[in-house]
Amino acid sequence: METQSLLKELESLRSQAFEKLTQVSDPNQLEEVRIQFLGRKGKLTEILRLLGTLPAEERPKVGAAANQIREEIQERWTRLKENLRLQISQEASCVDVTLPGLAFPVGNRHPIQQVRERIEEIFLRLGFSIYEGPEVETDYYNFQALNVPPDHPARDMQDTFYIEGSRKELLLRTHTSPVQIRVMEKQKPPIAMIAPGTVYRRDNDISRSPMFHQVEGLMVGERVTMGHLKGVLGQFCHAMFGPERKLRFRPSYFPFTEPSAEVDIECSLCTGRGLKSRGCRTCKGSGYLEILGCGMVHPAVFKAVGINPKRFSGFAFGLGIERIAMLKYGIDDIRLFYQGDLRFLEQF
Amino acid sequence: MRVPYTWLKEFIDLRLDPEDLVHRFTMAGVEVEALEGEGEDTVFDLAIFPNRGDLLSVVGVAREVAALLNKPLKLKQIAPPKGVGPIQKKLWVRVVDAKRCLRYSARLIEGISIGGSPEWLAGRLRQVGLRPVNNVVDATNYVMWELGQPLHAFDARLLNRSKIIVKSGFEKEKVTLLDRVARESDKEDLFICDGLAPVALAGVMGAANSEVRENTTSIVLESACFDPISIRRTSKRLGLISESSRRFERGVDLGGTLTALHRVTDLIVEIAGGTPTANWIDIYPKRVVACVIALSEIELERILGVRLSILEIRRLLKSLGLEVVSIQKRALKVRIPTFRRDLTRPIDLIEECARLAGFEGIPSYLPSVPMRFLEVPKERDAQQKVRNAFANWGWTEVVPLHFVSGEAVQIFSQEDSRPLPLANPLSGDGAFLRNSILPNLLDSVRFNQNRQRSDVKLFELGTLFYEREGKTCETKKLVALGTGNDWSEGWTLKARPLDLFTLKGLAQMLGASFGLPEFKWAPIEPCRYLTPLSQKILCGENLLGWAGELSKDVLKIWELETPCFALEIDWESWFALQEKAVKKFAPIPSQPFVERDLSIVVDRNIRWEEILQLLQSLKIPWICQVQLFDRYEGEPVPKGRVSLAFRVRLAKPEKTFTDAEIKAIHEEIVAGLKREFRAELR
Repeated sequence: METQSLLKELESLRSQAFEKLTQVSDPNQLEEVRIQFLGRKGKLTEILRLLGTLPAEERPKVGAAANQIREEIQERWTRLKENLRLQISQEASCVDVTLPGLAFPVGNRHPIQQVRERIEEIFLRLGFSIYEGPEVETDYYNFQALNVPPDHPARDMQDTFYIEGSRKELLLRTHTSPVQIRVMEKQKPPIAMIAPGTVYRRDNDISRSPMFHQVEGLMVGERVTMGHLKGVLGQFCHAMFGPERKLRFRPSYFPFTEPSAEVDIECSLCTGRGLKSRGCRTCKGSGYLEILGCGMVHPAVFKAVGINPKRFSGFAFGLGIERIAMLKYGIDDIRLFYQGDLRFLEQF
Repeated sequence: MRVPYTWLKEFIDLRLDPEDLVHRFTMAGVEVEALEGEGEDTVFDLAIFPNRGDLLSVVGVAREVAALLNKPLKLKQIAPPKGVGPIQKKLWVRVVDAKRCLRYSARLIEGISIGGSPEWLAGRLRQVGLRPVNNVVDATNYVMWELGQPLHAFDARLLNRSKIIVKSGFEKEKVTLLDRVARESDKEDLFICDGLAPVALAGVMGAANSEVRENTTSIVLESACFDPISIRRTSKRLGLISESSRRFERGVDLGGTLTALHRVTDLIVEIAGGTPTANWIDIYPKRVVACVIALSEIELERILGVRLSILEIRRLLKSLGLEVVSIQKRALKVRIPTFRRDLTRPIDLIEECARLAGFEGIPSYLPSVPMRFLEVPKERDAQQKVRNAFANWGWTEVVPLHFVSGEAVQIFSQEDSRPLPLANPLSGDGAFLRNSILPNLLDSVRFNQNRQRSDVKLFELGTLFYEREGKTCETKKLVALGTGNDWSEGWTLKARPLDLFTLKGLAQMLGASFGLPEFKWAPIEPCRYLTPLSQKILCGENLLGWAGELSKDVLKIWELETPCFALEIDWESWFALQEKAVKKFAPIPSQPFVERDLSIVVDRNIRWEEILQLLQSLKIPWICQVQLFDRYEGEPVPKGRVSLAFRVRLAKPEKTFTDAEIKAIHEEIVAGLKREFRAELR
């Protein structure tokens, strides 16, 4: 037998073995392949028996080639065997992995509380302290100290609940602004604070609830300006609604601030295209949505708490938590917050 | 305040598109509620702030627009119309209450004929939302709308003794006003009276007895100014708000009564004929002194954070019709006209400058403050932690309204406190402030059950209200209420009905997560809203609250069919305790523990607590945990007996147990159980 033809036969043996291995689908077939090619009476052994017919100087060359081919086949065979083993053990365990995961009982935090905590967090990061005050207030703290004397037309802006039998002296606070009076009575400037809490007004419709939540803010110091007010509220709004939303400050009126402003945020639906797009349902075509009221603390308020308005100035703001939650989540009826409807609460 | 575009144009050269004007209004602090019609027919509906009574007139709005657009205001020159004969011979006027009536001007016109108004006038009234009546009444309304001065016309022949007396002090007098409603007076109400009786409720509405009617031929025109507070009180008390009272309570220009009187006289003569008296009456005892305010560049910059030059400040203030009386390098003084009496301090002028110049011109920057430790309410962190924990444990937070019905406060009231009623509730369902969170949670459970949700687990950490010893109190409670299943059925898990032990477990988890010692439980005193199953929660000597089942009575009232279980924790007691709780490190045992399971059968009336007490009394120092893992009644356990299986964990800090030691402990326990409870081993 010639060396060349023997080498050729070895090559063909390798191709045959590889071909067979690709067709294997169970361990029995795999074993058959092993016996057929690598076994003691296998094809490779047969070829090696012919080695003796070759001239002595040719033998090592062919022998080496035969050994290499044996290793290649052996390696492929081993890998395939391992794969088959894994496949079989998986099939044996029979787990339907598409079954649903365990349903742990979960509860939800209320959206108003989540938004309140978020607002508090933003102002804490800006350096504001947090204070609280009573919900049953006196006329003095809720109105008079805030530059709303008795019989002032501004009282119509906040329809008030009174406690029976208190001769209109005790009321449910209509805003969290009384807390700023209580803090200023006790502390000297500089002051930077917010006061979150529950407030009450005698209203009841789709956008106004007799009870809702506010965060009042106050900053007082030497040289606190309206520029600072714009800066702080700008930071807040961007942290709350995203830096791309445009803001605008427009003049307004509150008895306890002057100048007073209303802050509007660009409508997310029509992105501030203005009154000419009268069609927008969310912003009623104005292009902007009102989010909070603010202004520079009125000198009469400083006077009520004994802070010299010639030396100190300050800004105050009040924002409605429901209002912000409604804008943030696209909620269109304020009453949904208070019913305890799980179909609502589970969305947040 | 409705302002037609064409009416505005009578006072200002206006070429701006109405929609652009809306934007200018908005950005200058004049709120546009609605825009009606188009082009020349546009009507602006403005919301006027309480401090801007001057904008309740077309001229006032035109003045504002002139300032915004930097254009001149074209006021009509109104000369007093000529007439015949002195008024004193025909009308006698006296102001008795000069505190409430600040100025009273009047004139008489004879020989008029009442009829319909010309269309230009009637049309305008309809545009602004007023109903045309007759030429005289329409003329008074028209001039009021234009100049902001409320006017009234009396039928001169119906004024007894041709007298007008302005006075108060009518207590409980019945007066029928133009709206035909009879109302009872208060002694503080100001009335316009003739020689016999009231003919008008001053500044609010005329009376029916002196009304101008079809056959009226002579009229007395009134152009007066009344004290805003007095008008507001009367209007509020009677719940009667008129166009006139709206203007008076916000302050009407004291300097403008005569202008309006002349204008309306002129208009009536033009459309209804007649001859006015040669002169008029004007009682004005306390002339207002124009206020002069000083403002400096520096002061304006101190508040706004932006510098405006004194010349710019002057231009802005002058455009509003204010009179600059002196100007220095960096400061000026302005005299405030009577129509802007809301301007009394420098800050008012700063505001006017800021809004006219536009807030967008104010730069925005962050303040720098000295570093300090930020205060937060001391309970804040704990509240947040508890709320998050309850939500994580499967309970959903609610935020209900704090108003409840009289029935609800009755059921949950405590002996030593009184619920707080509202003087003016929106409805009977909300007549009280809540004295318990349970009614709110029960409402929500019912709400959800009516909407196909049978498993409901809710909680709130919120405020409740009551009066104790004459003092109003606000306290916080943490309340959880559940019904239905603990969790819903899954393919690996069977549903488990929520029960007392759910709430007990919730309380235990809460205690453990805050590092409190283990709670003790004791039967609750008889209580209207809880079943006797309910348990008090004690931590040491402190009563923390209870866990229990709501009574049948409560379920009946709320129309609930499934049993409801609740946990109520007094927040203040809880907070005080958890503040004292100290978490302290205990060395981790180096040796493995040993566990022994015991399964015993005892009489049914033996309580688990007693078994724990026994184990404790044995004083075996190595017992570190006892866990009940099965409880069974029924075959093959004899009737009246119960099988209990529990696991005892034993651990020594340093050594391991020998088999003999474990055997001895096991035997000691078994002997104890046998001795005390006639227990049998299974």
